[in-house]
Amino acid sequence: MADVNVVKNNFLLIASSGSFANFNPPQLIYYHDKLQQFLLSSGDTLATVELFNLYELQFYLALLTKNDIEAKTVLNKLLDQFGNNKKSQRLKLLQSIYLEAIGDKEEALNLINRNPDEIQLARRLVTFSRMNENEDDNEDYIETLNYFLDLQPSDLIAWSELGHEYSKIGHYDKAIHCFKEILLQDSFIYPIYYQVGLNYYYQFLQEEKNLKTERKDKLLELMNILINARNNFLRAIEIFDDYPKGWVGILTITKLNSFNDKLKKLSDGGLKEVKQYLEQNESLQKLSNSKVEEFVTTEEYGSIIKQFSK
Amino acid sequence: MATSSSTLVLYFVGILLLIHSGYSSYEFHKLSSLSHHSQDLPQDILLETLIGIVVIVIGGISSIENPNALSLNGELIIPEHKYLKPIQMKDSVKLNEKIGISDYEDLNSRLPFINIVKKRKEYDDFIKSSEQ
Amino acid sequence: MSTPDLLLDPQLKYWVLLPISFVMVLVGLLRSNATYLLQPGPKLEEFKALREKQFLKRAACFRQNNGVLTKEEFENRKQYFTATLESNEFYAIVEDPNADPANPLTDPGMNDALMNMAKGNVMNYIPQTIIMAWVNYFFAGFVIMKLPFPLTDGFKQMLQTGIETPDLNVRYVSSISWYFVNLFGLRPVYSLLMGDLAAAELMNQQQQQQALPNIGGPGGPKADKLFKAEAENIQILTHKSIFDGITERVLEKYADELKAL
Repeated sequence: MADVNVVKNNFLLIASSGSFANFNPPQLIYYHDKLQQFLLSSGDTLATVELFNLYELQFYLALLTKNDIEAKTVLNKLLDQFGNNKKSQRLKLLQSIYLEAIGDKEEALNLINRNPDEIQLARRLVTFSRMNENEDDNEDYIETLNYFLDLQPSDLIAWSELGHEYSKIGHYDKAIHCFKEILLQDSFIYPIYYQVGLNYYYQFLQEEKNLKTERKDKLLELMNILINARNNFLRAIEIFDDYPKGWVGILTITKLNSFNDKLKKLSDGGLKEVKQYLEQNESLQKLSNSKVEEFVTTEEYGSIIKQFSK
Repeated sequence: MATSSSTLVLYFVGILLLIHSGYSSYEFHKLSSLSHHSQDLPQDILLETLIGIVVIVIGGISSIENPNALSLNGELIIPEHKYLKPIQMKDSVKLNEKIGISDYEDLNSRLPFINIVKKRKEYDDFIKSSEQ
Repeated sequence: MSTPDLLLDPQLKYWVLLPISFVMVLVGLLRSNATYLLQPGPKLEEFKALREKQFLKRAACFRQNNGVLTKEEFENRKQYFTATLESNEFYAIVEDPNADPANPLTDPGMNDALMNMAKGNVMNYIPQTIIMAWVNYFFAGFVIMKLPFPLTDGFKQMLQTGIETPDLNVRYVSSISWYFVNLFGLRPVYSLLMGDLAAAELMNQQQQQQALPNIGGPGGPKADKLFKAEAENIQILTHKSIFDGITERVLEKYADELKAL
């Protein structure tokens, strides 16, 4: 059995990255039970900071698995420890999320709506303009996010959220703008290059669907979008060689057969840039095919390719 | 990080050797200052000191062993390099990518913006559908 | 050993040497705890000031990392940044150009910073002065120990302050010198005793490195100057995209593998 340290590090990583926000229900149940056991069996061997970080994780997991009573208990534990610190934004955030979860939205809003200098809480405040039941109707939400980003221009998480929101409603150019904003602040975030590439690809799909003619300039425009997408995937690969998503992205783009056939006609007509694009595509397809076969499992491939068929 | 028992043994032996050699040299100096012959330190004491230092250094190096990790799928991942972490980015991100949580996961999870109401509803639906 | 040894009373060790060290360690611990208590809690920064800093950071990042953009995106953003940096849209405080320059001593932010600095200095100097006076009063002119290793004459001044014996072997240490040796050498002892605090100190240093530029604080430059400078920097930027020739780069990197396929 894995020893305590390994399990602990796993939990701490989940807590600090917040990756549980994307867990599916079985995963939530699994980790909730596991963490509960872990805290019971070896909670007293942990350092204080680690312990309270894990309590925070336990709070979220309990709330997400609808164990409201447990969540409340953990929250009270945290409040008992740090309750005299009225200034803690982190605690207020937890309290507000708890209230929101049990349906007391007004009180949740009240709790964080006091001081504009409390930036963490202001960020949470933004989410109150979202339709929680129907996320696709996000016009207000996007507007509020934009307002927040005007106040906090280098909040990367907010930029990422805005990018995803734009992507949801098909404004791919704006989504790309947001993701590029993140890359400007840290130019080595390879998952974001992948996101940019993905959004270019969506943009291509969107415009191809609306394509009625096979005019030359239209096709060239589409090709440029694909080149942008491909370039971003390639950049992700350049930073991290074995990035499965990046290779699958390249493979998908190079395998757009019907579109490539259209381009083929153009290149036969003597267009140099098209010819070059198609040639590069061919080698890239070979390369990415072998790479995908090398280290992407079928299961993984399936889950990645799902993102491409929007 | 993880101090294994072998590390502790190495530390213990090394420190014991150092203390013993230190005491020996102290005795030796006392003796030589009493007899007013200044002599060089005997070889064996010197050797003992050196061995003690080497043993402690070995213990120190083995204590920086990279810990194993656990992936999101519950698999145990043994890091590629036993000691020291890779310097190049393409190698260093590999481990977390295998775990399933990349170094930039916070930009993907966006926890501060979590839609807690919807996530709880999803969970509800899942429980209901699995009960049927 | 040509000169005969000075015979030191072994009791000196127990009644002078160790007490000085002991008192200094205790006072050091007391001082760090007192400083901790006196420190004001971290204050929330005003969101407008934060906005100003973050925007400036964003502009600086654009200047450094514009390679991730395509040509078109670069031109758009360049225009946006030069225009915005030259307007006063992101200033935290829009100053009236006709107003008299404010007296820096009446500025509350300035006062706070001065107060903190004064507190830190007072906590540093008062205990040290007191201990030094104590050592000087009770143990003036004491020779309290003999170093177990030989030293050159250069160390005489350092180790034998307070005793007027020009011919004494350098290996003998006076009480006030022992005080100084302790003063500079006890830091590792403190960090060992306080454990987490050393880590906290390290964290502080790291945070300072990542901190946003200090605008408008005491001694810091004014926002409009920084914005203007950044605008000028951006204006003369030339753009080279990382996407230029990226396909060739990747294909070349994997050329061997491609051949094998």
